[in-house]
Amino acid sequence: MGRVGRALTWEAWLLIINVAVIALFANMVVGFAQSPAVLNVSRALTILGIIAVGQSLVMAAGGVDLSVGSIFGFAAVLLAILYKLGYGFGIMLLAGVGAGCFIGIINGLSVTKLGFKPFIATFAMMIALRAIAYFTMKGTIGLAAQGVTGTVWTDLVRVQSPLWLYPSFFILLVAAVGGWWLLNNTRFGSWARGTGGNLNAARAVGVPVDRVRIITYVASGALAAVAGMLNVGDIQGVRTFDGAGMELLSLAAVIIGGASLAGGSASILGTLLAVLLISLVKVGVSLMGIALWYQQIITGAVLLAALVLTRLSLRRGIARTEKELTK
Amino acid sequence: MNYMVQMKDVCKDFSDVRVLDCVDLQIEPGTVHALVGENGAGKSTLCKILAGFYPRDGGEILVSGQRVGKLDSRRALELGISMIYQEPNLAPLMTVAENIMLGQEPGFVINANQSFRRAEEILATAGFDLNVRLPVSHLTAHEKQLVEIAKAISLDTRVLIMDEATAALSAVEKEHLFTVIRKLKEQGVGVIYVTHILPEVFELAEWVTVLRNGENIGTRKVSEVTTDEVIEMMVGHKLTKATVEHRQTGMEVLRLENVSNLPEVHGVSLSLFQGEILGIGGLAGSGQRELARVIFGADRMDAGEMYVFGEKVDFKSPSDAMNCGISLVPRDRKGESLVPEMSLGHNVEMASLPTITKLLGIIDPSQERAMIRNQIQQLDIVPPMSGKVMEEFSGGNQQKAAIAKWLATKPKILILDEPTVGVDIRTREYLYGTLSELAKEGISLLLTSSDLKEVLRLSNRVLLMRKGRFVNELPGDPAMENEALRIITLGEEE
Repeated sequence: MGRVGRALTWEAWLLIINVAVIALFANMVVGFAQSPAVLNVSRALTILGIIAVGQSLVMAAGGVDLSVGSIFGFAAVLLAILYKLGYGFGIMLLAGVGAGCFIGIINGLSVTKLGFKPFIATFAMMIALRAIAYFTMKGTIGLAAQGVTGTVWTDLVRVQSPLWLYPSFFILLVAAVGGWWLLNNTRFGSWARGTGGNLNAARAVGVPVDRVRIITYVASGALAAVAGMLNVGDIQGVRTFDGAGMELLSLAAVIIGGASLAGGSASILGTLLAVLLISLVKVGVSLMGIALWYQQIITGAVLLAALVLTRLSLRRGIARTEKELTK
Repeated sequence: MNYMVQMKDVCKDFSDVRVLDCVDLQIEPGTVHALVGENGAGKSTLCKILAGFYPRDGGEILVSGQRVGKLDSRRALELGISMIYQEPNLAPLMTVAENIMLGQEPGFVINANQSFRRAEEILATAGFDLNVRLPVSHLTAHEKQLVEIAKAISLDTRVLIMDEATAALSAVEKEHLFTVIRKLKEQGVGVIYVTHILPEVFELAEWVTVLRNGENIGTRKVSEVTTDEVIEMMVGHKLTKATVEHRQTGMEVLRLENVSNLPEVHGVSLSLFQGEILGIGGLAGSGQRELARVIFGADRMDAGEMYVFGEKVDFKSPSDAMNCGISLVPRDRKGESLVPEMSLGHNVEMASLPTITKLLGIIDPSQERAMIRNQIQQLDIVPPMSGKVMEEFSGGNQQKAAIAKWLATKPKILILDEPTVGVDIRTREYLYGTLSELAKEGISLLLTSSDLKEVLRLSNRVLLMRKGRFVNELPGDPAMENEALRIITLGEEE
């Protein structure tokens, strides 16, 4: 990287990589620049992005939430069941978000009060919730829920959003701006980053570290549930494996976005740019008509390359500022 | 007398080991109460109990005459008790300002400029000069300590606990800090001052309490005791000083010519001879650590040439240096040397596994046991239990283990970077004796220290370092201390 390279932030680099990928696909892949593909990208971006915002908060506070994919699936199953039972939109929404919050509280309590490592605690939750989803659906693979989108709210946004944009994109915007503001401009954000950066230091100055960590898991659970419910409206049904793999993709996005693996910092903007990159590659590669397993190899390779770049760039960035400061 | 804090019969057990046994401590307002004792005496534990970091297992605590029940960090802060920890306790990725303001943010929404200004004010009151917009990870160890101190005195503190807060400070900063402490004293703040450095007790404190093996040996008025009496209370008997002999030295084993490790080390040249202890003295942060790292290959040389046993070398990594018979005992034993969760034995053998392995890297258990036993004996590590987890040893014994780990590699040149920081007097004397023995056996030692007394007493020759350059060479003679201090502090006011 030259002089210009070193002057750029990691977010700027991610933006450049995204633009390059868009240019590449737009020239190589037929139909990539047309509205169905753009709609697909914005859909993938919205669903994974909402989850990744929650994951960013958890990781900033020094945790990790592996249960988001299962919360996603669980909320979807819950929504479909309530729908079949004839409940209205408001109840479904409340129940789904409520369930996400509740699971977040359990995650938070088992990390703080029971002292389990976040990785283990949320991994257990991930497996248990997935099992509940299978059990509830009595072993069937899917459950149709046609018409579940036929609600006032989704009709409203569908009418007002252009054809190429996923109608719930604005939810991602609200979550991202909210998450960014919370993390960088509020006392809670300072406490969360303090807790993630040095738990003992935060505790010693009276930060309620347990409550802070629980709240991040609650936020992550609620956002994952929202994403899961949006997905139901999208595919007009529920499958038992919905959301599987989202936990690792969201984790990768937060790390590629520039968060510290040890906790203490996360960039919401960087995370979203990483989610965009993942979404672009996913849609672009599938449009190329490549078989599914090759698609996964390509996605994996892109993730790996992005991770390597992240580490290189962050290390360089730190070395650079240190040299400058000591002069 | 109205005490601000009274601790009565305070007890604490760590997994069945009694670390505090019915300890009493009283703090008067507007005084400094020094707390001294060897490593493992229970000083830090007592302080952490008062700061609400550990719950106590027995006894009671009264603050301004009122009995305090359950004491956690939050409650302690409400009562006006704040503590500066031995090691900087900061969030590395947050800015200096965010760290200072953490826990005392004025409202839910934070105005960044306002908190920068507030943090600058707080630092100015303390007399420290730091850029509040920098992430803490960019600061040096002693700058981090300054942030800690500023943070603690910015709280509405009535009782301030300082656990070896000056260990990483330079002489000038220490003076600043003492001025701040005296100011706090005038305002009626009670200070608990934990230290290993006895002259500080006599300079600063009204009262001194000595702890030994978790018991209160006695509390005395500082004006009515002598240094020797305090030392005797600390060690339980009269301390015999280790004999340090200076030997005739042999051939040149290491030569540096204009070596730089920018921006800390600028064009440094030196020669080290066989069986010699070469001291490198200077204020904290003068480049000693970076010099040690570049010789060991932990940092690459930016310029210059290095010769080991007459052959030109260019170390790309520490393993290159180890192959040439060079070992480094780093100053940060927790961060760079020991694995706290692993056993003593596993820590000691870690750097020299190839010497005890057979075919395919399988460890030979009898050789392993012999080597570990040998090292534990040579450094007199207490308790001599190779299976005990490292973090359960006291600071002094951890340092012995760190040295044992590198001695096990059978180095020809051993670099020791601040080997006695945070080590109690008795262990320190023991280490002096050991190092002197090693030199007698023909090992060449390069010793960096910001403690001039230590480096002058131990070394054959002392090179004085200031701002990354050697400024003078003195013979190793404790009588040279004033001369050395004058040389290294010269130009500080520039």
